[in-house]
Amino acid sequence: MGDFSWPFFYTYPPYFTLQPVKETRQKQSALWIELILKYCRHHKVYQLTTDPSDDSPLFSNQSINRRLTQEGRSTFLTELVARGNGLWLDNNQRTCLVLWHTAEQWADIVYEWARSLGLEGSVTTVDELSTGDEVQGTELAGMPRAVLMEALKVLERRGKARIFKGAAADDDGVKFFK
Amino acid sequence: MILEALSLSASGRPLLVVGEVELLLVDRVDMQFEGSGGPPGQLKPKHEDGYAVLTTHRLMWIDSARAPAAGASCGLSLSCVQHVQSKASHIFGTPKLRAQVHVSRDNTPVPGGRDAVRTVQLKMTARDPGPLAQAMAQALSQRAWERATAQTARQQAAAVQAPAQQAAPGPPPGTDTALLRQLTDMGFPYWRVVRGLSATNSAGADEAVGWILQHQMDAGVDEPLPSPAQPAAGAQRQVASFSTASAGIAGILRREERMAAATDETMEKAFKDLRGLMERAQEMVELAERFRGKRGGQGDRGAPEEAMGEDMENELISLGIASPVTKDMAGALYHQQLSRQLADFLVKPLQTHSGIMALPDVYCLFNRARGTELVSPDDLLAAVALFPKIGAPMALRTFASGLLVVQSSLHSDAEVCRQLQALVPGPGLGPSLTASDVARALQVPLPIASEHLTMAEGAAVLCRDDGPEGLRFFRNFFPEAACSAA
Repeated sequence: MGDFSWPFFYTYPPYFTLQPVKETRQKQSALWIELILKYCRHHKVYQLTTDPSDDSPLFSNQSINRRLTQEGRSTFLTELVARGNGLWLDNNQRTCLVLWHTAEQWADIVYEWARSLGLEGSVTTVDELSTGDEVQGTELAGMPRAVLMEALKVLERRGKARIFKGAAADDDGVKFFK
Repeated sequence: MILEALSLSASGRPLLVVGEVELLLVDRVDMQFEGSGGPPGQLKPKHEDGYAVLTTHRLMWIDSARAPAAGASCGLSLSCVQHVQSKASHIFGTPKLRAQVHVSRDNTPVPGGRDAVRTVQLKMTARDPGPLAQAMAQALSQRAWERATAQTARQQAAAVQAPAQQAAPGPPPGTDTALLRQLTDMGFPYWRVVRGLSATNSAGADEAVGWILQHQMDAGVDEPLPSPAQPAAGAQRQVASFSTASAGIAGILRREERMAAATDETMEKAFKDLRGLMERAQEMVELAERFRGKRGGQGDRGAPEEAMGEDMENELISLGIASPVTKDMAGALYHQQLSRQLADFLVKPLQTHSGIMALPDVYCLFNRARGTELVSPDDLLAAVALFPKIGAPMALRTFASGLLVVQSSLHSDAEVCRQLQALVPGPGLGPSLTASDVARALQVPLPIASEHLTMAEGAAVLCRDDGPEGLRFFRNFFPEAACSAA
């Protein structure tokens, strides 16, 4: 994993203050979403929290002694969810699943991968899609189950796959169609 | 009758001469002439829809239909008025004031005398002209214009070292007339000098001046000396001795009555002192005006006088509304007139305060200029609220934070934005701005500086940083950052 290159405005103090003026806030919000997605993709971070005690370098810049407040985190993550690049994992909106690919894009990636292996018509376990030998070296490796399930649900809606409930959660299987 | 055309201030108030003070304003007054009259070029038998202003020097009629332009506004010097009376309303007519005015051959008012060929009647109709006639009669008897001319004449005389004998009743016997003349020429009032000389037995100018300076605040020091035959008032004291009149309930009541009378007298004296003090204040204002005139006249001359101190100069300039609008004088027109006066007064201060002043500052400055005739905050607010109505070049503005300011019509937010933008040059982040930085750079008070910052933030010129060091503002880099990212 190479060094992440921060954008220039990451060292600008106003970047970490939630801007009250609508027009400015929209631009700030766009910059934040872009940074969040880039950062998460680079570091394979799938979950973010609005908890201000979280000291992730994403939300706090020690060198200029600035950190995003809970309100700020919550605002930008909400915007992230609204764009389809995030998913709240709890009802009180504290933890957010980050989808640097949207669920739709993930579905395409999973299906492409299955087709490249000629898995159409056959059944495989869900776990294997993120931990199996065949996914090593692809983007699917290490994918959290929650994200994977979102992608498979999309495929199911498209009629490209079917999820089978196993005896235990680990035993869930999926069958891909042509 | 051809009257003098009036020049009005920008907000439509009549311009007064030195020493002239407004006495009374009466709304809705029509002017009627014998024949026709008015300012030159606008002669009509009747001028309608105006208001009358009585000053110590003139009776003016202001054309309210065309305010703040002068229109047919005109003035009549009181020195030309022979007498005045008010006619109560009767069946066939509205109540009016009738002034008999001396006019010359070419039909212009003149002070009575050789040039006056006849008198012409000027009528003013109003709902209740009584007070106006009364105040005018009083002004006629006080002859303030003569005092002013006498004063200037005396100053001129002193300037050319040719002292003129003052027309005054003879001094009491035993007064050194040479000393008397010397001291009156120095500018001391006549009776004060007479008292000073008699108290010091005409020992010398220095002693007399010493006494005068010591006693100048005494009540009645400028009143003529009573003739020796007159017994001093209030000198008799009742000797307290027992009699049936002071015994019993009746006696107690009588004693109470006596005490009440004594209290009344004390109060009376106190008020007299107060009036005396207010007259002094007026003199102070005049002094300030004179200073201001002098400073203005010197203009760009020499630096040494500059050393007199800009502070001192500013102090003097901030004094000096010679004829403050008061409730007593203006009546129903009070707020409107106050508003006009305030508008005229504020033009200069607004310029020096870059076009915007907080209302409390306006209040303090205005009241200081008015000397003793203070206005209440409510009246000031009412006057400020009337600015749009009288067409003043300024208006009240309420900021989002609730801060009230008077803002000149020349002030523009765009201009402030431009100035602030110049303070935070790009590219990149640039320097930061706090409210106190802005206050220093733009020479505005702190509350207004923070309003400017918030305004510029709203206009997307600045963005904020609410960090551990407090609220700071930077140039708004978000648009260009968004551009470069896209």
